[in-house]
Amino acid sequence: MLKFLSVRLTTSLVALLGVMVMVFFLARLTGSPAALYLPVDATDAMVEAFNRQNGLDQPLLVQFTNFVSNALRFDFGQSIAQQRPASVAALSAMPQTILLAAISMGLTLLLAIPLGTFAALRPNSAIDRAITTFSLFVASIPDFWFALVCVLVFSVNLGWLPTSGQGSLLSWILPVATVMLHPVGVITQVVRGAMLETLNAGYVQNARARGYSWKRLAFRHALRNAALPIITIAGDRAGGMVNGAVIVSAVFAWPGIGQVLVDAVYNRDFAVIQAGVFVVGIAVILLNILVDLIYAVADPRIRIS
Amino acid sequence: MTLGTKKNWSSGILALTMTAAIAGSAGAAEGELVIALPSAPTSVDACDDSTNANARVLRGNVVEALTRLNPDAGGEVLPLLATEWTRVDDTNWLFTLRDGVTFHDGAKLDAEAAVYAINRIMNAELNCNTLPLIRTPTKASVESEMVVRITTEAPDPIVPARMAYIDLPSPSTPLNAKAETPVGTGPYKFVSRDPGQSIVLEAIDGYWGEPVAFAKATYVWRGEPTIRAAMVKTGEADIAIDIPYHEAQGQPNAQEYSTNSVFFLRPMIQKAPFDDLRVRQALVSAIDKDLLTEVLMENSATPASQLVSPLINGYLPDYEGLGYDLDKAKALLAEAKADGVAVDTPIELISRTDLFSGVGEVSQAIQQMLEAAGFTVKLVSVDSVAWSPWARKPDSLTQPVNLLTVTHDNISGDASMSFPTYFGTEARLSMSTDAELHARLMEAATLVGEERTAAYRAIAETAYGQEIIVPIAALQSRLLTSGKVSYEANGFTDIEIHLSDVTHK
Repeated sequence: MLKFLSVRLTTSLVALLGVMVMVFFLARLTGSPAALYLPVDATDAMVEAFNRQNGLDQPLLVQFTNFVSNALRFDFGQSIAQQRPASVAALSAMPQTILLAAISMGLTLLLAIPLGTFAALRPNSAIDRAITTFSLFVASIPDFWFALVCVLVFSVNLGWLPTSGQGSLLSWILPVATVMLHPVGVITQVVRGAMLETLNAGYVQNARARGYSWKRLAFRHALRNAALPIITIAGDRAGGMVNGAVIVSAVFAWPGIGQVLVDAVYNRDFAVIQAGVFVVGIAVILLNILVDLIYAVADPRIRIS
Repeated sequence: MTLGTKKNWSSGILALTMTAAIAGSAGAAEGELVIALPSAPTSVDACDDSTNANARVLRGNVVEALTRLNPDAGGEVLPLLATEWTRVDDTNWLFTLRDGVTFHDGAKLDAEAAVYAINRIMNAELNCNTLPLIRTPTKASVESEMVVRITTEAPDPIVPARMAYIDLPSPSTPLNAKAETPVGTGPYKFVSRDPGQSIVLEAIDGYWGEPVAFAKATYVWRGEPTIRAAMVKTGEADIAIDIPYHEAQGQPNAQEYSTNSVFFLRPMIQKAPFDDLRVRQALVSAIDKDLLTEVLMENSATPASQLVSPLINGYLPDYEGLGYDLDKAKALLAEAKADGVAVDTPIELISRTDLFSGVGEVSQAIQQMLEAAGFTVKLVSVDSVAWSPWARKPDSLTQPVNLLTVTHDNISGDASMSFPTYFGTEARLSMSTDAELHARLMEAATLVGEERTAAYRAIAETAYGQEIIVPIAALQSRLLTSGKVSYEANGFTDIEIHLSDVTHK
């Protein structure tokens, strides 16, 4: 177990290092922040002073060396836009992101697993067709459009929910619904496919011949055997949720890491981009390890070693 | 604007009258105001108040300047923290400070405090956004306890107007670092900032001027205009600005306001084919501004033929420029081609995506109009950072021949804040190489009154005749207010929203 974790962590951290190197250089290819923070008719002296104050006057390799040595101490520098340490800017947004992702994924699984299973229990029936149509529909809706329409219907016309921001519990409903939208459709389809294959397996047919009810078979036995692809896709989608939920940031001004990263890119806030990518990278690594552990729990044939 | 007068008596009397009237109607501030804006400030330091996103929150609310410009009177300078001013000689001015004004931290506004604040901005190491608005090196010194001397290196007759851009922070503000909590003399004190989310202000007791109606103001940032509009419609916000036409249509509390911005194209006139006047005239003649503004800009613009609005002294009352005439454009291009001008040279149309809503579609339409006339145009979309090397010297000089999309606003009333930037040879954003025009700009900057106006108008005629820039549209926008507040949009709404102008309905 420890060996598995150390190998997994090492390979993941190597990948994260590669991502950080790429982000460092790509961010700087997008242009100098001086063009954004100084007036268009700023003097050369102003531009030079700005670059000096923000360490941008150093050769790129020197900047990179400084970045690596500081990042090892979790020091990503000062945010130009937020005027506070970049690591604080990134970390302070993570609880909201993780909570939003956890709630959304929990509700997604609660909805998608029964729907996919019921569809698989009666293939080609009216229920199956209805569930398949529904899942394809929600997986195909543009989430940006969905979010705006929800605001117009539930906030403006009906007055039931807040339009944006984060305040009462009601303010979570539209962001959660938007984040859930595509995963519900995709995971329902995956559950249906995996359950169909499992329900047609010989041991299930045998058990059925012995008089087991479909319901008991499906939820007690078949679902566990169909779990691996479901865990895989759920893990992938959860990674996407942790990764930012950018639409939720753009439309609902949700104060998560998505908004922090989008703002940082627009603001050419290199320090926050780097800190944000690092924090998200760590979160995704931990999530992937969690998924591996869940594999082992779901299927005893898989050994964590 | 009153330029170079010995004393601004009329403005002083107006301010005294206003103060007296206000004092009679003073009442305790109550309730909370929520304002939804498109973008958060990039800095909360008073010395960065020249950008709209910063000034909308701070200027006139948290921090104030010696003077202020009248939003509806073409740059008329009004007293604010200074009650009067005198031009001693060409390069020296005396400003008398208002008695009884204190900063939110209890520091008294006196000459020493004002001098500290003004000289702080001049510190190049601080990188204040306001600094480029001060065209000539300027220094403040203490004349007496309540009188500040402003000394400029070169004569500058519009020092009182420039002082309107210099908001004064408390002497406790760091000299060499940007403030994270601005402390000023305005009716509201800065309470908190949640980066990317909100800023909260609270009304102070004992404000020297007009009492405000709301005890608390919360600014929230919503980049999506539909959400800003929805927030007002649902009562979550009381004021939302920069609302598209379709969101404001039919709303009872919608108001239109001028952004003071003019959208124009800046041809790269130092390279062929735009170094030929006939080609530039063809460019102007090929663009149907009426079609662009009526169809694509969704009632958010009117056709423009000048860089500045009628509020600016360099505005030409009867000038309309060349109209849309496709046949004339083709003929001009053919004539230039016959004379050996490389009119087939591919031209890059640099479309900056954040200039205004729908700029992408407008740029595409311009591209097609120009190609219909015979130009070869490639559309390049860039954000503000990528736009910079196309716009600013020295990088802009090495770019391929291009047409740059630009917006420019000027609320000062004076063309010196506009013309040198685009018509002068030394300005970073200008493509002009006309030394004579530059000399005239330098001379105009030293003139006062009618002479100044006449000089700037003559410069405008020359520049427009040379088609140094191609004005397209004057931009407007809309705001929504909730049922509980009254606010009347004015000429500065896009730049400054004074909370003292917002009252309970």
